Amino acid sequence: MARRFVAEFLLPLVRGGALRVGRPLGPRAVARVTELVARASRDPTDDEAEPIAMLGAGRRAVAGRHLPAVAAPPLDEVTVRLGAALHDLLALAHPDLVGPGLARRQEQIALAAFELASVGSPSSAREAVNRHSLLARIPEIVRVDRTVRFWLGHRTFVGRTPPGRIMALPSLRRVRVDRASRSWLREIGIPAVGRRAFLALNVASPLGEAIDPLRLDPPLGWGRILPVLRFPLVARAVAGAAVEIGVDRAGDALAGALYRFAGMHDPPFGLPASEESVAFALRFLAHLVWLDVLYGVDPELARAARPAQAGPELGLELAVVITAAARTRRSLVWPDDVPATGDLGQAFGARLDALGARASAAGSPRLAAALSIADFAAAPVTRPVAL
Amino acid sequence: MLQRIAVGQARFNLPGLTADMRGAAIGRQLVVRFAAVDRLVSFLRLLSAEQSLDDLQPGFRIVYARGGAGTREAIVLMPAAQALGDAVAHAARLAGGQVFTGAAKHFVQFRETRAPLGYDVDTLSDGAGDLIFYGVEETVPYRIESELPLGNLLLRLSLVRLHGRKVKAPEGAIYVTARRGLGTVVAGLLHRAGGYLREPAEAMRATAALCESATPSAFSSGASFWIFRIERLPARLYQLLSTTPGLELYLPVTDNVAVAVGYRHPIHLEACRGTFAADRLYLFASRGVTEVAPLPAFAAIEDLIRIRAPSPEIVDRREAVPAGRPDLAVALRLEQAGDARQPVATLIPWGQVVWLQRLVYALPPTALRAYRVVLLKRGVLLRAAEMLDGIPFGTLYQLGAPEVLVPLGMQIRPAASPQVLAERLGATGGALVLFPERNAPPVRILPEAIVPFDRRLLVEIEPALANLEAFGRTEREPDDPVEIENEPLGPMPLWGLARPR
Repeated sequence: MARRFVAEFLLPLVRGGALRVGRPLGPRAVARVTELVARASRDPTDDEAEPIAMLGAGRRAVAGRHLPAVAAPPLDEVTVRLGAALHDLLALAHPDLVGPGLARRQEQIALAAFELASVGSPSSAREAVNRHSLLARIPEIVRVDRTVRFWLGHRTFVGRTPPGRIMALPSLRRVRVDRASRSWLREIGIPAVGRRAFLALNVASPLGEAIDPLRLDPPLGWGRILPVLRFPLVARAVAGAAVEIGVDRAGDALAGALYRFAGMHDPPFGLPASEESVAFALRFLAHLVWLDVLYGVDPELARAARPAQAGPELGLELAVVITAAARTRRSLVWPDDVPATGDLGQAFGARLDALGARASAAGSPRLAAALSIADFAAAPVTRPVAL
Repeated sequence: MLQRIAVGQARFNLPGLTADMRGAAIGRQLVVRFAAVDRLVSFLRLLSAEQSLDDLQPGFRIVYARGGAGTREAIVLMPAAQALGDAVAHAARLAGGQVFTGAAKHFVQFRETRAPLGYDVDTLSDGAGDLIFYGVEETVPYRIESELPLGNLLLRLSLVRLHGRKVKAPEGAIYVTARRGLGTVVAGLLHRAGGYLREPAEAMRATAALCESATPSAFSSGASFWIFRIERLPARLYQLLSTTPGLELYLPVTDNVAVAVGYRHPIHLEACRGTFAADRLYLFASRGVTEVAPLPAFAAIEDLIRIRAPSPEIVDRREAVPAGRPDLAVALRLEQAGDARQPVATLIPWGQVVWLQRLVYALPPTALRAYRVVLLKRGVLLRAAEMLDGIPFGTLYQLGAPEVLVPLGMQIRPAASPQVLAERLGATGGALVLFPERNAPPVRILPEAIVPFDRRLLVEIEPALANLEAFGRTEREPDDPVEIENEPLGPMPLWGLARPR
């Protein structure tokens, strides 16, 4: 598996195709893959050299969407570990893992995945983008389950291509194949035993989570995405993605996650909630509102144009959080170098007034919770205690 | 040996025994002993009819205990409330049980007609056991063997069939489960029936959710079914649904518990609300209990009915006259309005398009981005999102109804509701209806023909491809799906992985 890992797993993970999932990988397998990669980099005629080059080109294309003029990301040990961790997470649902002792075996695989994925948060914007270039297509992974029906019965192949003997003589044996394509992340889901490993994977590569705040599972965690939002280049890319999704829609998801983060209800991965990190999160949300004021449409007109039956109103959570931050400390939402008397300042002030009216109409309990979050960011009265 | 309690006696030998306001002895707990489970069920049924079992929590326990003589009996322990003793004693007598009171492990027989104020013991027994019952005839120690949670008992009991009851439509809500294949058919039936019964006071309201039962394997999908919640179900539909194979009707007992129609649970479930998890829906049927977890999110039936695809014969820019019903319908017509609204569109004849081409260089970027355009036989229709600004020529139009354009200063008569007008004219789903002139028939424009102005504006631009190698963008976006292909794991697939501690 180590020899084919780059060509048959990492490369399809980036460029698309059949993602071959086999024996779970451990630290020794990762070491062998790393050694093969090092040998191929020294010898261009090595069999592994071509897939490694193609993988680098594919990852460079993905990374180029976030950081311009980026070089091809290297296939280093961390990259191999993250790929192997994902491979093990996929192997948790392998159809050959059946029978007695399944829970124990899944636990063993999940532990290996967790150890491989525990590489910590990226230390630079380049590193964050490089890691994301490998794992960007995780939400697109699908598993096709095929049920082959023939004259004597039927057989189901979970994530496998039926062999030729099953498909032989299709007319005579009245062979019919039913395909069911299911998204790995959204429909199949990660077994509970692998949840820690998947969270560790998101800590190691949080950019995918940051640019997709509407992702349902795992729910957005500020503790995981804050380490990369500190890099201005990445923060701009994330803010751009939020503006594309819609500031109201993305802002609601980010504001909702802030309650969990500040309330210390997130799983214990990533950055812990502190006054400084909560203040940064509030400023990032305010940054989205500034972008909306600069480039978006008038929210009142957009809301009036919305059909009456178009689901819950968007932007309410964001309005409550921004209003609370503005009332608690103005500097949480207003940069020092923007005067309130200019056109831009007046426009933002008018938006704050509109958000405040919506927040007040929404009711006091939510606003009270948001005010306590803003209070914590401005002058913390409690601190997390290690038990 | 027991002794009857005398009037005014305040001190007792049995620990935990006190005198209530009437002087009768009562302990901190009441215990009821049954020789068989069916008597226990009868007792719970009688007690739940008079007393909410939730009020007895915490402290309400059912245990199986083995007595000194080797008999295995069911014992109910509950806290002794002020007025509970008589109700429990009454229910226990009817069910064939025996009541004791006391605390910790010592319990003395509860008061009866021979001892109206109860009993006390001469001396405490030092026998081994978890519970010691002091009766008039004997003192029996019990060893607790197992505990039976009330919730488990409720879920395991078989329903009792109601014989000889005439089927009558329920007053309130009702749940209906349908196999997955029947769901859309039932939804359509309920939607149609709801349409006929649209009286304000008697309007039937139906919501539905799709549920999937849990499966023990990760590789097989569980059985799925639809669940409908119907309020004010008409009697005719009730008869129809209750006799249709594949459908099962349930009457709600509490907010999240329902029992199959034609059956009743042996125990009054409304007295056991706290026993059932609030985030689950329990459906009791004759074949067993279905737990739906989490609570299903019901969607209005109007949003679930199958929508037919639009007829392929409706093509772009085809002129059509909305046809009405022959009996009462009247034709729409345009009349002069008292006041003009804001213009939102303009129809520029093809002869004046060159003016538009010159003007676009002066239009602000917001206008270019916000305007949409349709190319018609009559000319170019320019539609603004809010208010048309900066186009001083062409025929101006205002909104006569949502997405229905009428010439400026005109209005549609008869003055039906704007929503009804838009629906009848087909101005839904992004389509646009244009009344070009006062006496001209309206034109329906499909959404595919409406394109952003700036996109239609620009000529085809094909700049020469630059050498993008330096920018790292030579690779196109990979389009192939990422598909899992499981390979054989081979022998000992976990070899080399660390074992969890």
